[in-house]
Amino acid sequence: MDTVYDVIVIGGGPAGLSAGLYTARHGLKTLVMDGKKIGGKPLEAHWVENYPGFPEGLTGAGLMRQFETQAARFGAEFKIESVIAIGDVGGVKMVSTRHGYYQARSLIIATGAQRPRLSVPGEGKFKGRGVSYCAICDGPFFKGKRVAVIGSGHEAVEDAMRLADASSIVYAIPGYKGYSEEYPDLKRLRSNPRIEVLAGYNVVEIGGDGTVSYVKLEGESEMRLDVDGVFIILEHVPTTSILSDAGIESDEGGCIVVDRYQQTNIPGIFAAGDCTCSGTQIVTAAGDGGRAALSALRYVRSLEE
Amino acid sequence: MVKVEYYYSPICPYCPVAQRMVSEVVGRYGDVEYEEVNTYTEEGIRRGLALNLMAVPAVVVNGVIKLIGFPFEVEDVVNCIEEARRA
Repeated sequence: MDTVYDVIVIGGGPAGLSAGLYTARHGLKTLVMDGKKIGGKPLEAHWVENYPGFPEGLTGAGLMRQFETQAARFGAEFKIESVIAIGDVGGVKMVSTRHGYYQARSLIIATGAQRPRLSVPGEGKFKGRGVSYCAICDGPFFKGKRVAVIGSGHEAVEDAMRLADASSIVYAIPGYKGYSEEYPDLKRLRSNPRIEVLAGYNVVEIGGDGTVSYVKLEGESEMRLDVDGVFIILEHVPTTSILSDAGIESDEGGCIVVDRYQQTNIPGIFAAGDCTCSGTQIVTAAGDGGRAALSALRYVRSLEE
Repeated sequence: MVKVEYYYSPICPYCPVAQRMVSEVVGRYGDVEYEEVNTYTEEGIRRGLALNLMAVPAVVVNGVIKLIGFPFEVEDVVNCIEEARRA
């Protein structure tokens, strides 16, 4: 573990791989780390048709393989290890995993964002047995059945309408605060005869016997809805708990605060992509990653002067 | 004889990665029967619901749901098969 990298990139999605490509190509000793697998969230995308340079489109996995290959071609190294802590020790950045620690002159955080769990009783027990996080994946199991869609973002709105095409009734439950924005589709949602919007309520329990049969709601009053399925479609949030422990500043939404050069509040630590809430597109993440890499390059060069 | 059934839908964004993972692991064994079940068919839905399976991707080993919903890891798939082989 005596190696000191010029840059460690935490996160192997489009922002991290773009950053790794840029730093490696500029001759910086670069390590890209990811706790799961290289490729990040686009691995879940069946087909990507809006990434420039691929007019016919390609799979998310295929696109990410090209990102990885290109970064590796310039010498970027990769490790699949979960980062459990980071720190700044006398100007050297330390990255700890369960297998040991790594050292670097600079860090680029590209840890992405994830969809949170609802964290109510019954959610884990009925996962896959009525509790779903993907309407297009699991909608066919609920043809002619009653479902609840929990979430206040545009994906929750879209999924409620998608499910209403085949389900007998869809309860749209955005939570206490209602929908996040006045989405254009909200008008269609509210006028759909198969959708009942229950604003001002939160789900507090999911229950059933073997499979889901009801949800309990709390709001102005308590309510029990008989449903066969519960789709939990909450908005993605940045995965930054380890980072806040390290003193990296984030805003109230958990987004890492960066300046126009992707610099965080700690010198030599940069952030890029969904963890900065810059937009949830592969192309914006890649752009962030490139910009963070060039900033890291300037920072590392400044240490050598 | 171990039988692995992989339940998927053709438009599920998680399924291609899971399919690659499951089929690769199954391919390591010469004695594991493998079947892919498309839940965008009446037959696939019927078979899934008969197991109380209501989400994809899912891995069913010898008729028992072992993994349901993504993400799961290669090790999880290996463990399911190894457990069934020992039984």
